[in-house]
Amino acid sequence: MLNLDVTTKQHKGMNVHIVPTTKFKTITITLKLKTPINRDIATRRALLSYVLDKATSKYPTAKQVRMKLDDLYGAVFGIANGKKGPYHTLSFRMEIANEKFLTKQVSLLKDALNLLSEILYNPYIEEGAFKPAIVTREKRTLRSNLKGIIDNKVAYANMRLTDEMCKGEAHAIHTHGYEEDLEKITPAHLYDYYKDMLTNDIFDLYIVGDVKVDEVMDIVKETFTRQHNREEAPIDIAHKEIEEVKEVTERQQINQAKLHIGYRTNVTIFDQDFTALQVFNGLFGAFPNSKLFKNVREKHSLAYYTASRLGAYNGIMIVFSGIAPDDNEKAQAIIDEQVEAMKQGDFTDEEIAEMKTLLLSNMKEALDSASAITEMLYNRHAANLEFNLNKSVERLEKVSRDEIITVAHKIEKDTIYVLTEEEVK
Amino acid sequence: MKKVRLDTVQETLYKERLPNGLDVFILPKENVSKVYGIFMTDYGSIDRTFIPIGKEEEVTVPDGVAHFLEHKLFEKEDYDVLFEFSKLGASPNAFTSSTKTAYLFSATDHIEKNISLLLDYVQEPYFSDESVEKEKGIIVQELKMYQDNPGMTLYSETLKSMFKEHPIHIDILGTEASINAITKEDLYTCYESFYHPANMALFIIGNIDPEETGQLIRQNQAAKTFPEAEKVTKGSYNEQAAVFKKEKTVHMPVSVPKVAIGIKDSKDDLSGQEAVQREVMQSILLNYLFSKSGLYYESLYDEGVIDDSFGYHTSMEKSYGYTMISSETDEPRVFAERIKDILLSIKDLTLEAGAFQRMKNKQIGFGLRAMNSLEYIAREYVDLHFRNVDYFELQKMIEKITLEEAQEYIESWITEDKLTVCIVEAE
Repeated sequence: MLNLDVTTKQHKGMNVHIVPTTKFKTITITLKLKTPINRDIATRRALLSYVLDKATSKYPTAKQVRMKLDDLYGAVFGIANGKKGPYHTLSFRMEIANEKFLTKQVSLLKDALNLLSEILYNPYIEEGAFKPAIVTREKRTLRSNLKGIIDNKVAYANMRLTDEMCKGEAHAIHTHGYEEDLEKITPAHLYDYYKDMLTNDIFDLYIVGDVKVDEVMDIVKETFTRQHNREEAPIDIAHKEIEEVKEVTERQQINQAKLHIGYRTNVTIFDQDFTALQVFNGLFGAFPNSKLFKNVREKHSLAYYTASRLGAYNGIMIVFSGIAPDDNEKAQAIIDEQVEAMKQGDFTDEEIAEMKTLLLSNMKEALDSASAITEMLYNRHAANLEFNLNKSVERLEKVSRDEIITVAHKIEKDTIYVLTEEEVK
Repeated sequence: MKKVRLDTVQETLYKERLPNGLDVFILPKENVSKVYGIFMTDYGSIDRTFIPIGKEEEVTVPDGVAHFLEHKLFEKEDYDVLFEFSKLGASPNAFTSSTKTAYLFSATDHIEKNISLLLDYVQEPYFSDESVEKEKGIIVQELKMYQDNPGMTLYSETLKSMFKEHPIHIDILGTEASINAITKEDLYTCYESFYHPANMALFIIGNIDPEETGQLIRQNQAAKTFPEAEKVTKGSYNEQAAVFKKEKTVHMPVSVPKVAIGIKDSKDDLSGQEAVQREVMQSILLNYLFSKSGLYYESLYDEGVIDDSFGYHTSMEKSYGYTMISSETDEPRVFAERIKDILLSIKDLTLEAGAFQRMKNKQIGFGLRAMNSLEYIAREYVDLHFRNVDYFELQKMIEKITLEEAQEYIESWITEDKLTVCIVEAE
């Protein structure tokens, strides 16, 4: 049976999740903040993930912050801005060496949490605003990163597909921000939003490593002294009807075309048949033994990569593949055939059993990574769903052939996005 | 099996050289769920010119054969290896680098079957004209994917600027033309020369019993026959000490220009140990100069010469070595000037003891963190094994480097003829 020892405690409105385990030689600390996705705040939040670790009142330059991290035996620190279903998240992640593998006696965990709290609560402020030079500089970095998305063709095609498919839905909002919104942000304006964020966001702290719950809680109580919000803002997820399949073609000077197709599965993590959908996704496209890989790549040699990916909260499934521009129609026809085959139940009981083994194995493997453990816990917690590995395994084992066919019939193609070469003149 | 207790990391490693020459390493870890196995040959894309086993004349095979061969080992006459692993609930993978080819899996169940499958599919090649033809379309798409990636283009073009003769300047995948020229015979020639057990190593790590696993591997190997191990004579390259081209600009559609400075390493043939020592030394010095808490990062960043994509890495093998420093920037030429000025001035730098120690600690911390990953331990261990270095001795190697040695090194490291600038920008 699968085992994960998780203790969740509340401290001043913040949820503290502690996973004591001897598996790792380091301790991984992740602080997650979330709030409903909203275009008005998206760019400011994105910018905060760049600004916050550049200066604090105690360490007024980025170099001093980094030197402090070096002093903690080269602790790793980063702030990531992202999406978890309907929420815009900010994740502060820190990884420190476990003291017992170091020759010197040090109290790294306490120092690390102190530094995390310093970065979060005590940014360098002058005259009621972040330091203008830092904000200007970080706006430039963010702007350049936003411009650069188009240089990563897979990421770009995914973004463009979502833009087109989910127009008007929260899911289409870019949590990495918008160039045009960046201009308007002033250091004072950003600081005001930062204060709102501390007041309104929901805070979850995860600590995974060879630690003792009581000792961690003592340190947390000492280092996190602010009261946090526990009231979640209501979220409504609108159901969008598909009238007809949208087709979007975009042309660039490229060698390989990107074919990205968006489907609405009409099943999400909150639904009973979500586990059946995961098995469907496995048989259909998630793995090298799935229909997509077997047919698009192995049988027809059309692509190096081809797969499908599920969005647990929005029920959107994306099929993506890199193909020769001339093969677009052929590839689409083969993908359509695979969806149809799934609806017809064209898979054996043996294949279902193999897929369950594979999914179970992936679940077990996730337990060997501190960040995977954190994400797994947060996925369930953020959705207010119970975390119980053994129940998940039970659900997986019960998924029947009929259930897989039933979810297959719920799936609707929504948008076909093709990024392809420029027209030959 | 020989049992080695590793006190610093509280682990025990088992190792053995089998009668057929295969080096086997087993590292049991009780509290994890999975098992990871890697089977690696000391053969990569640079090994294109050699005297095949049993032949007298040197041959040069088409570029991209090592990588093509890696793909084709997955296909058998009557089964597909990927599907077999999937049936066992395992995730298989493989990669080809300039100097190594590796086959791997991770799994939580059917461990014995997975290990046997790994050994068997790598050791039982089946190449046919038809399956070689079929693979070409797939690999050409892999190549095109990289060609549309400006970061990969920068990397590959910088290598081409640094090296004139040494095959490190050739892309691992080859070119569309060379891929299309590859035959079944090329694959067999390379396979027979470089996949002898004596040229390979196996590392299994995770939730396993070391004795039982050792026994399984021993029996698997004893049941197979291999020819006597022969050392393959690899071609030698008369590579000049100076870079091939000092400057290059490549045009492709890219929204933010990318730029790299390459530092070519002196061409003296190094022992594996020396190469690794040099790699460690250069990594510490690069951190001293360019990490976020280093000497120059802050001013470069504040001036807008670099952004958060700035990075550097150093790679030191027996027959070649280089360092690359790169960033996205609106000012690629300013970047090139600034970084070159810094690199040419560091011979006059006096290293500061406190900062130097911090960089060493940082390197040690990085090593410890990396040990959370079974994949990383196994890959690094076998890779270093082929360079005659014990992965678990790296920490000591770092600790031993003195300020005086580093000072001496930095004074002679860089001269202008070793530097190249490569820019990728839109037309």
